[in-house]
Parts: sequence; C-alpha cells; structure tokens
Amino acid sequence: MAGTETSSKKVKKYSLLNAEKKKVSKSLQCPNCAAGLTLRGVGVSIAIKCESCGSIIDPRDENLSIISTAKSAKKFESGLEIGGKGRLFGTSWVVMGFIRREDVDEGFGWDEYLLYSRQKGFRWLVDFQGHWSFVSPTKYLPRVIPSGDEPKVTYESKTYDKFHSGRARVVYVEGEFYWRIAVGDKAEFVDYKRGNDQQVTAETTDDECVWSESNNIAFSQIETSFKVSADARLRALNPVDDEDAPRSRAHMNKVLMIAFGYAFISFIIFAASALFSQNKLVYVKQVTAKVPIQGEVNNPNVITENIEFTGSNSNVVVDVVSDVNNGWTDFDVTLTNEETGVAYSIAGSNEFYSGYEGGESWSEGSRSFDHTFYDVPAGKYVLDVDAESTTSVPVSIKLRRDVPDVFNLIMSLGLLFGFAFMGEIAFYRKELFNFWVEHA
Amino acid sequence: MSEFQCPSCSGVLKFKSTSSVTMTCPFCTSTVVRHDLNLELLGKVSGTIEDLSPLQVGTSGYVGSKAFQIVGRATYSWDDGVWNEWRITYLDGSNGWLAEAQGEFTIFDDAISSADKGFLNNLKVNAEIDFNGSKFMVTDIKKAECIGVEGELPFVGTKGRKGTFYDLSGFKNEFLTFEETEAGSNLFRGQKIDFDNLKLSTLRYIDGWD
Repeated sequence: MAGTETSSKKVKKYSLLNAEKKKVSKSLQCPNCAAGLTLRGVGVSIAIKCESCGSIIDPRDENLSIISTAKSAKKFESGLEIGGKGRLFGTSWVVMGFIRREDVDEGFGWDEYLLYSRQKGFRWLVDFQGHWSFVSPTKYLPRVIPSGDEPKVTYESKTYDKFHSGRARVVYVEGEFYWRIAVGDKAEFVDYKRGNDQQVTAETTDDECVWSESNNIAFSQIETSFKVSADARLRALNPVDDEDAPRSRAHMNKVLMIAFGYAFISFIIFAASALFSQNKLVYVKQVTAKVPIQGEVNNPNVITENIEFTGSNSNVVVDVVSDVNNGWTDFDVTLTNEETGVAYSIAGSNEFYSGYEGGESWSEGSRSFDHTFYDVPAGKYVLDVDAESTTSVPVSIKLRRDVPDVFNLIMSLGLLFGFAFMGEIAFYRKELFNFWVEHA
Repeated sequence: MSEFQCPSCSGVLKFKSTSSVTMTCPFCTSTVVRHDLNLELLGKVSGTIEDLSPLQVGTSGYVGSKAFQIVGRATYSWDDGVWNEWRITYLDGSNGWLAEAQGEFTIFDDAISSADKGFLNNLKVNAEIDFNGSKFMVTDIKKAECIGVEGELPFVGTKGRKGTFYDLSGFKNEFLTFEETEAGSNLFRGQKIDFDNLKLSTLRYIDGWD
C-alpha cells in the first residue's frame, strides 16, 4: 500500500502524544460531603463509593450525580485490598471493588471482588464462606433447555444441570464499579453445575439477564497473588463443608421434599394398617380387686378364662383400668397359648391420689394402664389375671386384637427428626468452631 | 490521493480509509469534513475521551489472518455504562468496527446494507429472532449518546449523536447490533474476539497500569 510509510510515521506520533500524559487518574470531590476521591477506572467506572460518607457517586459528568447516599451502617471488611494488584492466569488484575451480598431468603452471605485488567476487562473473585471461585462473563448467551422443574443449560458444547437458585441482595459495597451499583440491589440467580467445579449462572434484574461462568480456584493461588486479610484467610483455612455450603432454598427444598416424602409414606403405612386391621375387642370384664391379707400367699387369680384369637399374627393390647382413689392396684396379666405353651406376661400398677389443699384440688398418678403384645399368633389361650388393691375397687380388663399401631408412626417420625437434629448439630458444630476460633 | 492540509493548522492529514468522511486533526483537534478535493472545517470539538483503553488510533492487529489498523474512534455513553467503537480499516481496503465494552472486544463488519430489517420492528428485551438461519436474543436496548470522537469516521456529526442501540446475542459466538440514529438505522453483525487473539501492536501505555 502506498500510504503505509506515512501512516507508520503517524502511528509513532500518536504514541508519543499519548506517552506525554502518562498518569491517568481523576480527582473528584464528593458532592455529598466534599471529601476528596481518586478515581482509578477513568472512563471505565460509573460508580464510586465515597468512604467518608458512604455515598455512591457517578463520576462521569462534571456535576457528579449521587447514585445513593449511605443506607446502612453495617460495615463489612474487604478480604482483598481495594486498589491492590495481583497476577492470575497470566494477567495482572487490579481489585476495583468489594461487594457483600446475601441470599434474601436464607440469609447467608458471601463476598465478591471486582477485578479489572486494561486488556481483559472485568472478572470477579468470589469468596463463598471460604470457598473461592474465579468468575468471567460468558462470551455469548448460554441456551436454556427447559425440562420440567430442572432446566439444563448448554454453553460451549457442554451441558450444565440446574443446581440451585435464589435471590441475592447487595448489603455493602466499597470501591468502583462499571455499573450503577447501590446497596439493596436485588437479582434473581440460577446456578447450573457441571461436575463439581464448573458452573454457569444467570442473574436477572428488572432490566437485564447477565450470564457468567465460574471455576473453583485454590485459596493458595489467591494468597500468592493478592494480599488477603486475616479473616478471609481463616475462612479459607476452615471453610464451611461443601455439603453444607449450598444451604440454599433449592437444597433445603430437596431435603424437605425427602423428609415430607418419608413422613407421608410413614403415615400412609399407618393409615393402611389402620384400615385393614381388625381392631377387634376380644374380651372385656369387670372384676373386683382383692385386698391382700398379711401373711397369706398363693392368692387365687381374679380371672382365669379361655379365649381365642383369630387372623394372622398381630398385636394384642391389654387395657387395665382400676377405679382406685388414694391407693394403688397391682396386677399381672398373662396369656398362655394352649398349644405351644408360649406365655405373654405383663405386670403393672395403677396408682391414683387426689385431695383438696389450701383452696385447690390436686391429683397425681393414673387409673389406667395399657400394654401391647406384638406378633401374637392366632389360637386358643388361657387368660390369667391377678389384681390386688388397697381397697376392693372395681377393675376393668380389656383385650383388643389387631389394633392400628401409632407407635410405628411415632418411631418413624422420631427417626426422621433425629436425623434432622444430628444434621443441624453437625452444621452448627462447624459454626461454633469458627466462632470459637475467631473469639478465642 | 487522500492527503490534505488541515484548514486550521496546516498539518498534513491523510485519510487511511476511503470510507472516512470526517477526521479529527491529531495536531489541533479540529474536526474536518472531506469533500471531493477539499476539507471543510467544522471547528474544534474537544471530543477525545480519556479512559484506560489499551487501544488507540494507530494500533494495528489481526482478525484471523486479516491485518487491520485503527483509524478512528467514537465513544458512547448511556445510563449504565460507556463503550468505544473503534473504526478499523483492513489492509485489503475493507472496513469494520472493533467494539470495546467493559474490556470485551467484538469485531463487526460494516453495516449490512441489503438486509431486510423488518424483523427489527418492535424489538423487546429477551425477544428471540431468526436471522440468516441463526437464532438471536435481544439482551439490551439502550438510549446512548456519542460523547467523543477521534481520528477518521465514516459519517459526519458524530459527537452528540443520539440513538437507540439494540444488542442481540446468538447462542454461539455471533452478535447483532441494530442502531437507530438521526442519520438512519443500521444493522451490524459480528463476533467476540479475545484480546490475545487480536495480536495487537502499538498499544497505548499508561503509567501505573499493566
């Protein structure tokens, strides 16, 4: 080309022209409190926080419009020094800003650092309770493939599965940003995961949807590149367990789904057993308890009777109610299978006391007792009951066969809550340990 | 020949791109408009925007195997940001744009002149459209204003130019930008390109920054 020589001369001139004005930074005065500010991202940042009054300012026009004034007194410490430099993946980055965000519904928080390189633009480092990741904007839009409740995403020929979603809110900022950030900014996010360490995220606000991809990064890499605060270091050395980390709504929903499912199935089993059980009253009789006489032994039973149980193996419930007041009833109930000789035996007592004292009536103890024998085969049985009481009170003996068993349901649900409780303890033990480390 | 004298300071002005209509004199920052044989002086427009871009008029690089040089620049600002559109001219005489937004680079061909732009009516954010067999989604619609110009540009009156800009992203590396300005509407097609892949030289150095 004819003009190549002259243009290369001109190129040199341009380079010289620019080399003369070396430093590029801009001094501003906060329009709210008149403190001096130095803008690093000249022509790049459109929001800068005034550290003396907490206002966020748009530095673009000479009037310096205020985006927001300080809203919250709550302060968070940046784990990386704002303005600090570090080299990662072959590029030199400057820490431009620090954002503390919280999950609106779950309340947990995390830290984000905005990195800037003149050549590569913006990236983020995210410190999620000690787990660090490096976040880049996606080059183009990932494709969302709806499939029921769990949509998938394809990006750069890879498929990602929906992992969790939630709403994030900005609770604190420091430094400079390339968008008009404000405390209180909300975004809905959906994370899609591939394997353990690759993730793409869609963040939607009223105006737009922004996609980013993130990869886990070892804390040692952060530490060799940037100056890290003692708190952030401690978090990274003792991070929240991976399993506990996504204590998000989606994760909790999953856990709750399983728990409800389990409880539901337990209930269904109970209901079905109730529906199909005979719940049959086999025997009822009212007798009078004997009053024991000192020195006398081998008292005859109050009941000795033949009874029969039908159906397949199932439970037998014994109810003993004695109309006793200010005294006790002791009893033995035995069921002996006539064919096999197997005996089912239970001893118990009802004690009941009541009175009237100082204008108030009181009572303690119980007049009734029940016991369940499990897995009792059908057949002919001999029922022996011995009952002794302080006075000769009426005692009612009742036998019920194939009774729906609430005990199983209670056991089942108890087990469920037991597991949940142990899970909570495991989680809070970690939290307590962190607290102890920080305050010891 | 496309060599002229600046009507204001007599500096030698050479248009590198045949598509250029205006130029900011690098010596006195006057804006001139090219007519067939002479230049019209539009006056001084202190339009150059100070920023941290590693690019400058004169920077050269490659798109694939095609060598290009940056000949001009227009900077746009909207409520939520700023971006640069660098005018590039290729060694083979063709032209294009290198858009630089938040440190991301997109290479655009010159405006698609013959395209049927009917599908661009009533575009809304998140709307999906088909164009030449590809799917695109509208990611952004913004009203922006040109806040500064530098070097050669293919149209007159760039500074202060207002317009509505529609950004569309494909689901692979392809993008569309549709702009409606006072001067008319244009559709551009482009793709993102990594800073390293542009193999740039004569970059702008700034003290204190890598």
